[in-house]
Amino acid sequence: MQQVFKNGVIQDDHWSHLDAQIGADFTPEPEVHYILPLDIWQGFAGDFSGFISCPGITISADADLASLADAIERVPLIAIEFCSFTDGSGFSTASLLREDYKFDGELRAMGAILPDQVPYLLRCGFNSVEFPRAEDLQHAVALTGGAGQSYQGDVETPRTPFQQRIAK
Amino acid sequence: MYQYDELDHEVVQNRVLQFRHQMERYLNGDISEEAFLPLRLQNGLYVQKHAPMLRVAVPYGMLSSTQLRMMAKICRDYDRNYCHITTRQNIQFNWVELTDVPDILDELASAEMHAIQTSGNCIRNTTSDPLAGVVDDEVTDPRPYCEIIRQWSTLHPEFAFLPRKFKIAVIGAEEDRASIRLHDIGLRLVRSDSGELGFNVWAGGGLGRTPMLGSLIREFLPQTQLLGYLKAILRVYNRYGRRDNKYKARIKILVSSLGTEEFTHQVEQEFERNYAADPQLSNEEISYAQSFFSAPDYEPFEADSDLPVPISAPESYHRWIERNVRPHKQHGYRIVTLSLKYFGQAPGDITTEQLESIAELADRYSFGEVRTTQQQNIVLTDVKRTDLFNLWHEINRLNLATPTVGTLIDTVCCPGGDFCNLANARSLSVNAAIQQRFEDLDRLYALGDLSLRISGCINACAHHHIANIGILGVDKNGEEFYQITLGGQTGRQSGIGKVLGPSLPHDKVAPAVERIIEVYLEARSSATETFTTTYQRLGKAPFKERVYATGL
Ligand code: SF4
Repeated sequence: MQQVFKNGVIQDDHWSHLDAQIGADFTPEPEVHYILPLDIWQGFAGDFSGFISCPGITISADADLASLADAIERVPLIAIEFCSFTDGSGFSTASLLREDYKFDGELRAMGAILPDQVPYLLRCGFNSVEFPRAEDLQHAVALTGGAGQSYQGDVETPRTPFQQRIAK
Repeated sequence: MYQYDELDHEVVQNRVLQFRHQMERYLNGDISEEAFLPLRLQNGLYVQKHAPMLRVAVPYGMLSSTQLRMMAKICRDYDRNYCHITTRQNIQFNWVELTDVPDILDELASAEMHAIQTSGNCIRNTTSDPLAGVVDDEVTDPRPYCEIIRQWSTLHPEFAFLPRKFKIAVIGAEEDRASIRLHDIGLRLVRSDSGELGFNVWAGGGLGRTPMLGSLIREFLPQTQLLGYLKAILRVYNRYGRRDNKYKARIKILVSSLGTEEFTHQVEQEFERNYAADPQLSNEEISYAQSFFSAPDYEPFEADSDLPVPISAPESYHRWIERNVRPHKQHGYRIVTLSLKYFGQAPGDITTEQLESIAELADRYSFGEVRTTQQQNIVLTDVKRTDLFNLWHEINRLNLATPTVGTLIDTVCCPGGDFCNLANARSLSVNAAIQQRFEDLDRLYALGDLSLRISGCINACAHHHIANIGILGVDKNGEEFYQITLGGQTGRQSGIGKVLGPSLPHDKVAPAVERIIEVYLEARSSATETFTTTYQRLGKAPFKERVYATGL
């Protein structure tokens, strides 16, 4: 089974990407929790009978969230695909999903990401990250272990720089 | 000035440790060149022509004498006994060894300094008025707000991989000595009719290939809402800024393509959204930040009449007083600019010995602090006027008293083709050729205030667009050529210069500048009419005609 970095540890991934185009005769496998590309997910027009659970979606890092409000409300998982590790639009997209859309399912980063970016990803509201290479997963764990204090907090508990320090 | 507490130390030390590991992994081949690039840039590390270059952040231009001594130590131990003040108030080391960088960062951390976000596509060092806190025309001191922004923007998780670099400047004074309208975000402190403090917010300024002045997007932003509004601007930019073309990636392109109105609308919408969710700055926090910038222990002086001039004072002392010394808001004190424009030296370069001596002079004469300026000089902000003559003697010996501040040869000049990988042409040699022609101080003073800026390529690090006379290195079939722009300005008004005509080869630049000056001197209506006023009155035709006439 594929592994994923999730909630601070490396673990088996219970989700499967369905990337290929699917035909009209597609039947989901009984035991599989799917992540579908957005357009395929939308193709089901909300009818996921036959799936064991509502499938998650993959969206691009710069997706227009306003047009996806319905899907965001329903899905248990949103995977944001980074097209390049220098393109940081996904950090804002994730923050918006948590802050504004109050999305509380699994928020996953995938695509072109560096392990060194994982601490930032987590602070923007991601709670899982996919890396195809095992050593990147190991690095991600190592890099998040000692992540110390910050000036901003994170999406869940944002703060202004001096807020806590002057209270001391 | 600001002093680190536990949290600041922890943030910086963690970053150094992290970078040390990244460097190790890079050297082991665990991180590719491509992946290491943004990581090292976020730590101020470039790879330049001759050696890696490390850019150290000088937050809003403030340095303590302890930090100056640290700069000197790094020059001596890791570099070639000099460093360079940049046009964004930072300090560059041009000859460091790649593998020494983690150790240098450790040394910096011990002096409450770092190189975080001094390059790369992230929020850069916040710049400000080098005279903040000591001039009369100020609503309030901008530095506490700069410090708040410094902390907020340092390792902000959402904005570390922006479409392009992002620069913020804050001022509190009437005169704009930080060129806020040339920044991605420019903030000017103002007071509302009801006496509340807040900001004018400008966005979308920048130089480079498409120079633009920022647009006013918010007339009055209450000070407590500062960070939420910055976040809204950054978020709109991070989501909608272009990433397909490096030259169209700055926020100015987004602002101009959406139009100021639509851009503002999107920012306001985003701001409204996060307003409820995010904590605001509290007045206590702002007061706390302000407490670090309270006035030093000035000696009380009743009146501020001019001092009797020492009989032994030579002409050069008077010149220095006239050009390099400014009034101070406190009776009996003066602001002194130490010029880094000594003849024959690259503008902004400073040696180990000079750094150490300035540290000592700062301790003795100016409460142990200095400021770096966008003009690539150093300022002692709080000198007793009774100390001026002694100070002048000392800095004269250090070659820091060239009495030319604000004149044509107080040139702002980037390292250009001699050091920089991106350069199209050399800039230092052009500057040297111009300096030579204007060595005669009487002639120079007759010109009055006049700005000259030289950039070695379109990245415009020397901000040539805003100079009265701007020079830009371009490449013409592999040869060094130079484009001249005239009429730019900064200060009370901001304006972008216009291209004079076809670019010129290296050796024709200094003669061309000479001709431009001739036209100005002949045409100005009085000795006080500025270059820009004359230029605006005449248009470019007479300048163009003269420069491109035969015999150049
Ligand atoms: S303007 Fe160009 S040549 Fe000069 S320092 Fe900047 S990038 Fe280098």
